[in-house]
Amino acid sequence: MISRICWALSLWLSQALEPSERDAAIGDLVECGESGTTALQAVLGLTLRRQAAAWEDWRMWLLFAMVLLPLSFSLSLLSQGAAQESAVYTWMYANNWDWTLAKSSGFWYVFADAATRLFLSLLAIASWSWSTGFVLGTLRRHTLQPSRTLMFLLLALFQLGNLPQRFALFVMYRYGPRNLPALPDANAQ
Amino acid sequence: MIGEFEYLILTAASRLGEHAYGASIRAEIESATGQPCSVGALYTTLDRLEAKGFIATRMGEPTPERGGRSKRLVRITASGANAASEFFRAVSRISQGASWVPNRANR
Repeated sequence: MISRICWALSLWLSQALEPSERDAAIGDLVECGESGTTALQAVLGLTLRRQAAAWEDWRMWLLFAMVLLPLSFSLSLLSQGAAQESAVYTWMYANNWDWTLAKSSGFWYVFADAATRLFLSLLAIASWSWSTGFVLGTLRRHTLQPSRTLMFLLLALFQLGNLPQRFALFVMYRYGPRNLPALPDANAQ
Repeated sequence: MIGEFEYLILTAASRLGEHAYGASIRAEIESATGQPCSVGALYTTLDRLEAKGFIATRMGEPTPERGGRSKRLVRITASGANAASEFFRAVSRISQGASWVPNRANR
């Protein structure tokens, strides 16, 4: 059972290899009657070597700094913003739901506003994701696979560490307006 | 000069002749060294040797015992044979008189 799972994983992982190399490497492993764990180890090793080899090219580093990092950062920032906002409204409605609210025009006004903003956020995420995919799709074959892997890792890292949101808050704190104009005192004579 | 793993691959490919491909080269190396030979190391080294012009590779026909997948057939070139020969001579020269070399008294 484990061997089958490992073989399935090996075949899935081998998609990252060039078709001819995939054929040759998997064929060799099948011919030698290797177990699933050995096959997985072999394919993983080969895939990692291929991905690492791409980083010997300086253009991969340029691509990382100029394209992948900004794209993944922006996408992560957008999605985290949308997730936080929708979480706040979902929590608010779920915890304070009362059917009498549905009769209030104020409720529908706020609901429509929140729904519109969520829809626009999701549309922005979808558009940004499509644009990112389009940019990655234009890359040459030997840089495409490492870029896809790196994009996935960057997004996972950003999501887990909540880094873009922290960075945005830091920028706002550091470079935002220092002294806001004083509000007029309503009690002043 | 080529590296030891490159030498092993060139020698195995030369011995195997027209039957030289990934699995058979791997088996030869494992049998000769008694050490496991990783597929990753083998294929990346084959690429390096091909880039240096020491071997030429081509994809063979798909075979049933490989699940309908093709072999990457390897052929050693003349410059590959020269490089392997040079490596062998260097190893032979430096090994002369070494305590682990058999029949050192006759040399």
